[in-house]
Amino acid sequence: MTLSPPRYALAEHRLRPRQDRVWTIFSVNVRLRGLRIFPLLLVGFGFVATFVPLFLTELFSTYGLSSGPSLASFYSAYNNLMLFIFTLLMSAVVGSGIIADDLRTKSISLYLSRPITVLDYLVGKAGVVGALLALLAILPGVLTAVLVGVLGYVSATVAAEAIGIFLGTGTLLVLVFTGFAVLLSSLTDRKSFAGAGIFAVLLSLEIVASVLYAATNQVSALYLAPWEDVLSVARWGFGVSTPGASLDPSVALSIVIALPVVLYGATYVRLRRLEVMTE
Amino acid sequence: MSFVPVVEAVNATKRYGEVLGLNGFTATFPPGITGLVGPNGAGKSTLFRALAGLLPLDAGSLTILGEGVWNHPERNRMIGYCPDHGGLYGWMGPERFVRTLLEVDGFSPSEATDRAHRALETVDLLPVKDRPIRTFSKGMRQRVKVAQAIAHDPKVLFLDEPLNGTDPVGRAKFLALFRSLAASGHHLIISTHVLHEVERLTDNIVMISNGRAIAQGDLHRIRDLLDQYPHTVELESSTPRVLAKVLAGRVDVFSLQFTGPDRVTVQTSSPDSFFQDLPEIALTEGVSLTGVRSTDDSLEAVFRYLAKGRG
Repeated sequence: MTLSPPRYALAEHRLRPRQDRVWTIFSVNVRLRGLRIFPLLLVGFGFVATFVPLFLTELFSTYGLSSGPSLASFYSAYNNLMLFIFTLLMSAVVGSGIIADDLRTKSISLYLSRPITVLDYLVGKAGVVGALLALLAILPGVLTAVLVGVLGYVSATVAAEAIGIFLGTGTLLVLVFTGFAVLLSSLTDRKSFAGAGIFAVLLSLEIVASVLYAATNQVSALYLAPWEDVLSVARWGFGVSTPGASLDPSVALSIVIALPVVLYGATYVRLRRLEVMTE
Repeated sequence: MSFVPVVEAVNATKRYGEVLGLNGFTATFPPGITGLVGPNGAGKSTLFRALAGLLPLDAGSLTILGEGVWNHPERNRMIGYCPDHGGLYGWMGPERFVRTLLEVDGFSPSEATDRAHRALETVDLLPVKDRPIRTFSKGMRQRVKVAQAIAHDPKVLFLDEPLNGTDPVGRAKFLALFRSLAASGHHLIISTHVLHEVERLTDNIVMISNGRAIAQGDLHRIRDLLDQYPHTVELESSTPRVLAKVLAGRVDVFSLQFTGPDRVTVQTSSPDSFFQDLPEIALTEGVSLTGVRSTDDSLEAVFRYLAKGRG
C-alpha cells in the first residue's frame, strides 16, 4: 500500500467588483445612519413639508386660483424655506457622524486595510448622506411632476422638463450640502462638533450673504450662499424671472459645480493624510 | 536557505510632526510566526499601520511578500490586520461586523456569512454572534478583531497586541490558533510587550525600540548578543563570602553584590562560560552552591539590555 500526503488547495472565490464593495459601505451605512428615529422623522416631515405645498400649488393653479400650471409653477418647490431647513438639518444629523464616528472608533483603519481606496470609502460614505438628502431635495419635486403629468394638469412635455430640472438642480443641491457634511465630519472625531459645524457653516453662509446684501445692496454678495446659488440655477431652469437685480445663473451654476469639487477634493486629501497615533 | 521574506523593511521612517514613529527601521521577517517585541510607544503599531497601507512612509520602503504596500489596495486581500485599539462598531453584532468587512473584501453576501460564521466559531463567539459588541468584555472584543482578520483567509496576518485583555483560557486558545494558522501556511507577525507570550510561540524575534529594530533573528542568536552586556546571576550558598572571593578573580565577572545572608548576585559578561565553569568552581574550591538563578533568563532582560546598549 502506498501512502501519499493529502493535497490541499485554497478554494478560489470569485470576488465581487469594486462597485459592489462600495455598495456594501453605502448599504451598511444607510442602515446604520438612515434607519434611526431622528433621520426617519426628518425624512417624513421634510417630505411632507416639501411635497404637500408643491402639489397644492399645482392643484390650485389647475383649478383657477392662479394662471394655470406651467413649468415656472414648479419653482415653488425651491421657494419654500422648509426645503432649506430640512436639508440643513438632515446634513447635520446624518452627515455629522458619517466619518467622525469611524475616526472615533478607529474603524476607518479596518475599512482602509481592506482592498478599497480612499475614494471608494468616500463615495460610499457621501452616498449615504446624498441619498437621504435626495429624498427631500429631489423626490418631492419629481413625484409632483409625475403626478400632475399623469393627472393631466400639465402636458407630458412640461412634466418631463420639470423632472429633468428637479433631477439636475436637486443633484447640485445634494452634492453641495453633502460635500460640506463629509468634509466637516472628516475634520473631527467628535460627532457633535461635526454636526454643529455643518449646521453653523451652512446657516452662517446664508446669513452672512443676506446681511451683506442688505447692507451693500450688492446682489453679488448672495453668491456666497450655496443655497442662493442653487435657487438662482433653479429659477433659470424653470424660467422664473424676478423683479430687480438677481444672480447671474451661469455664475451661480459654476459655483455649485465647482464647490463640490473643492469640498470632496479637500475631504479626499484629508483622508489620505489621516494619521491616527494609536500608541 | 533562501526565502522570500514575508516583510522586508529598509530604513522605514515615519514622523508624526516632531515625533518619530519609525526611525530608520530595517528588518526582515521570515516565513512563519515572528514576534515583534517592544515596549509601548516603540513603533509597533506604526509599523503595522504602514504595513496595512494606512500610513505612507516619509522615507525607506516596506514590502510584503516582495510587493510594495502603499497605494496598492488590491494587495490588501492578502493581509489580515488586527489593530491594537478600537476598530469596532459597538452597535453591531460580531457576525454583522465581520460579514460587512468580508463584503468590503469582495465576497458575496452568502459567502461572507459563511466565512463570518466560521471565523466566529474559531474564536468561540458564534453563540453571541448577534449581541452588540459594546456589551463585550475586552477579551471578547479582541476575539472579534482576530475573527475579522482571519475571516478572509489572508496569507499574512498582522496582529497588534492580540493577547491584550484576554483571560488565561482565551490566551491559550489564541496561542493554539496562531500555531495552527502558521502550520497551515499562514505567516503571522505578532506584536507584544509581554515577552514570555511570544517566547511560547516562536524563536523568530524582531525587537523594536524608539522606532528602530535593535535586534532580530533567532531568539538564541539574540541571546548571544548578551555577551556584549552584563548578565546577572543570583547564586545561593551557605558560604557566600567564600564564593564571592573565588568569583572575584574571574575576568568575566565585573560586579559582585551580597543581596541576602546566603545570596550573592554576580554580573558577568560571558554567561555561557560562567555557567559552564560554575560546577567545577564549586567542586575545586569546596564551596556550597544551593541555588543558581539567572534573573535575565527571559526576553524581558534581553530586551532591556539591548535597548540600553543601543541607547
